[in-house]
Amino acid sequence: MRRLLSQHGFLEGALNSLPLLDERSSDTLALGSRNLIYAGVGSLRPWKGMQSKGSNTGARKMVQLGKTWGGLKDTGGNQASGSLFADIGSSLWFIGLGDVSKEGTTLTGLSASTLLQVAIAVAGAYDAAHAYQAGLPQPSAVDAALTITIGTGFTGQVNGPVSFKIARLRTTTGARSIASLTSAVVVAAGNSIRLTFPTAATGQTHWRVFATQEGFGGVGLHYALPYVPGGVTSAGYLDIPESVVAAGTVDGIGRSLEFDFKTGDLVPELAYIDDYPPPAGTHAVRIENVMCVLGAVADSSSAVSSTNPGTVGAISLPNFYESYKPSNRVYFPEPVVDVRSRPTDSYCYVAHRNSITALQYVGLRDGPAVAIQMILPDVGISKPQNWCQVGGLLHARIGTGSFIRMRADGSIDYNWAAPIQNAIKDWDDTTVVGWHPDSMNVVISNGGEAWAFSLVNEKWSPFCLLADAGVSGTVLSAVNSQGELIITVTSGGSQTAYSWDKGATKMPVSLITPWTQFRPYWPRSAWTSQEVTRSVAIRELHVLFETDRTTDPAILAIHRNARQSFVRDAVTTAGSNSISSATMDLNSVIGDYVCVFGSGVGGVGIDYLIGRIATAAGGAVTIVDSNGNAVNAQANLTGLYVSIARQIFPYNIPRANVQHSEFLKEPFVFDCQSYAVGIHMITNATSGQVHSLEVLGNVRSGSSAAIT
Amino acid sequence: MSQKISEQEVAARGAEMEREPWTLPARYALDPKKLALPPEELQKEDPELYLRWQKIQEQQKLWKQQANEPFTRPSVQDVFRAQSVQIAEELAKLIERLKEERDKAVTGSGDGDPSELQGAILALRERRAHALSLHGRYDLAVEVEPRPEHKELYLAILEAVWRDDEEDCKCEDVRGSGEHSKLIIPKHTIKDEIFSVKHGRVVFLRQCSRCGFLNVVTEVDQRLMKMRGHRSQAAALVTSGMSPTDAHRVLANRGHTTAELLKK
Repeated sequence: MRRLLSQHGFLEGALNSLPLLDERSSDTLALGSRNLIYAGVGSLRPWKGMQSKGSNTGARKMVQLGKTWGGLKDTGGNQASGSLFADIGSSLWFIGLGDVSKEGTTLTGLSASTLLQVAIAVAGAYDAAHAYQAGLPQPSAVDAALTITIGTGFTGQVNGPVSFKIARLRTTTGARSIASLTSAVVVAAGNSIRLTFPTAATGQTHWRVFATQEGFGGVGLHYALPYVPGGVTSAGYLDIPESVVAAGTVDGIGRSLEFDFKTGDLVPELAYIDDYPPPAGTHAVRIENVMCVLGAVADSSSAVSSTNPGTVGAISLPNFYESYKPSNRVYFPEPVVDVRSRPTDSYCYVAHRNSITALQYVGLRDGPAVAIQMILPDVGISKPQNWCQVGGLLHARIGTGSFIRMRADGSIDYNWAAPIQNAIKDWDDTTVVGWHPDSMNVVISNGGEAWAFSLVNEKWSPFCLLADAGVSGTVLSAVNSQGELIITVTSGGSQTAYSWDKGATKMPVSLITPWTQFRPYWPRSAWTSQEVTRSVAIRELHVLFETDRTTDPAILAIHRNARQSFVRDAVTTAGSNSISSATMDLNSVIGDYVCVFGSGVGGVGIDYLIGRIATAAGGAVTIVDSNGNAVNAQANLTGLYVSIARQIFPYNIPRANVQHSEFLKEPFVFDCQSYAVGIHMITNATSGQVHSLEVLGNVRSGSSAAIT
Repeated sequence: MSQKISEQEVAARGAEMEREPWTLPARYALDPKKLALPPEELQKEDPELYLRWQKIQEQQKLWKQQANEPFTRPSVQDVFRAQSVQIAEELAKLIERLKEERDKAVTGSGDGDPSELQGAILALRERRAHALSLHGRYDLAVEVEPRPEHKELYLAILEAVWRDDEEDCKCEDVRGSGEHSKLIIPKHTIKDEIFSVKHGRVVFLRQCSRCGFLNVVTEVDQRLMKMRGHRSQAAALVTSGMSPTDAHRVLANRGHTTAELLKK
């Protein structure tokens, strides 16, 4: 008599960390399930693959860049690191190591170093001619002299000893230099003054002049002095364009301007004394109205570099991102590994190897306008790609190898990835953590696989295999931008950026039940307890599923007795029935079935190949059909997913959308101490999931059972 | 259909989350308004924040001790000079790499735009020349600098560095006129402080304000030094919190006026 052996729902997400036969896992997706993600509330759909942004568009350090994305690319054999971000006026700020790129395109001549640099957009483009090291050098003293002939429109108002200082300005970024040394003192008696300017520094746009009050030329203080051209009756201008200076001639001397002023014309702004350039550092971040250069001050004998980082943060003067008062500093417990910030926020997270801190704005005060708060004193991250933040909450692979996430109250959930721990326990520090806003998933990835955690459903999806999206290589870094998650994959020396969950028109999906044991209820048994395991024969399946594709059949696999149910490293050769795999357990598999999945592996447009194992030796199996004839692969493929089961059979899908299968009576798998069922479908990447599965069969009353 | 709507709703939620400002969880957040309060008031209003702020200050002291900061505050020239060596080296490598890319692009074996690459090389050469000048390598700066006016300046300083330190022009000091006729203004002015490879130290680039003659000296005229001292005092008064007007008055009361300094 056939009876219902088990029911499965699949909506409890991926789970592979409970003991194999734990009953709590009946509605979960076992290891081997693939290419599905939670996109809506309580529903799975096929993963949409990875859409390339173009060859070599990726970067080791990916960042949000204004409304788009960019990164720092490896350069000269060195691994990129550091910071890159867009700020006011589309300026790009960068520090660290690596070539700057925007939307995958390398910006010629823009290369990050340990000194903060800024690039200005000219007609929307960036080039080396408009990229500058942050901070402007102190100018040499201005040449001051009484004019030989008072110029037209001037009257000769200056009376008494006066002296001057000048400062450089870059109005495009708000940079200003420390003021120059003091000019020679000139003693005027109803004269005007000629000031001859030194040459402009690279990136300088304007000058500012400071003069003493009349009679204080040798002493100071120096106040800002507007430039008023001869005959002009307006207040003049404080920021004197370099073009005006370059064109100016007084008494036949080039680069000179004539000044005629009274003490009352001076503006109460003192010559700049705190506008030091930023120190060398490894990272930078702008928080509210201050720029922070982090990782400064390495050690007493050698300069800061990416391999010799410091622990100090230099904080700019408010609103002057290129001016760093040496006393405006904050201190970190150890060097900086990475910074996570957004221009709209008043804080950033700073990761170190053994701790995580937050740098946050605390307002204008006597000292730096930011302060450091310790977040995690005992765990940090190893590499910049190991973490991301979502809504101000951290998600990270920490140095110990486990995964954490911050709860809304700031406490740390150390069991975040526990459901899938068994599958990711061997991941190293090349793990990439990123956020996909469109599906509200946090995606962790390593090598060629990725797992998505739905922030809406609070569940893990089964792994997504990059190979199934036609992407070879290993993940390197990620960033979210405008709803997208962009992941860089490195392969054969090329680093290419891909949009996550986008682009595919065909995607194989697999749903595998957990291993299930049947414990019948024996009310009159005198010699067993009431619930005891008995082997079963699987005889029938009922499936409620949905799909968007009818071209290919659904493929159902019945696995028996906790045997290996899949591998991911199979290799096929066109015209051969040999399937090789380094990880396949070849012990007692003859007679089992395999289904190999790969593009065109079964012929043109046929992405599956079913066969029964005839031989198993030397890291390979050969497969045959029911008549014993060789089943040959039709393509040379590597890294293939293969389902291995006691029985595999296809079910032709009559129509798209949600549907019940017929009562599938093909299965005949007996002596199952435990069993699992796999359902594989090739979809159009829009719809494809199993809502429920019923397994029916017979229970064997005796205590004999198979073990393979 | 219901799934699609749900998926759209989720996407909208994600987009909104991307746009809106994020904040740290309350247990880590530091409220700037509260921190602006005097410590006693902060302690009363938010004892938890007060304690946390105290702890942050203590941690900062500890971490400051661990940092390898120099004991003395470097001058702005020191900072630039230290950076310039590193910049010059980094730019040299970058320029070489761009030259290779340019040459490949010219021969058709590379991807880049030759004129864009050439523009980048020239821009970087300017920056490298400036970096070289900051640590005294005016000889290399002259070679590297593409702009004639800058090349001329570097050359003038290079000549000044290698000139005999005693060499001077024949100009005389400047005497004031009219009511200021008692004042004698030194003809020299300190144009800049530069690093001299000949002297192995920072020297003063001295210019005659009458004829423009340049030379470097290791010490400046006493009167110039005195004026510098008074300017420093004036700046110190202001930076210590005194208003410029008050600082002015204090200096005048001390007799630190230019007229006093320059009287023969």
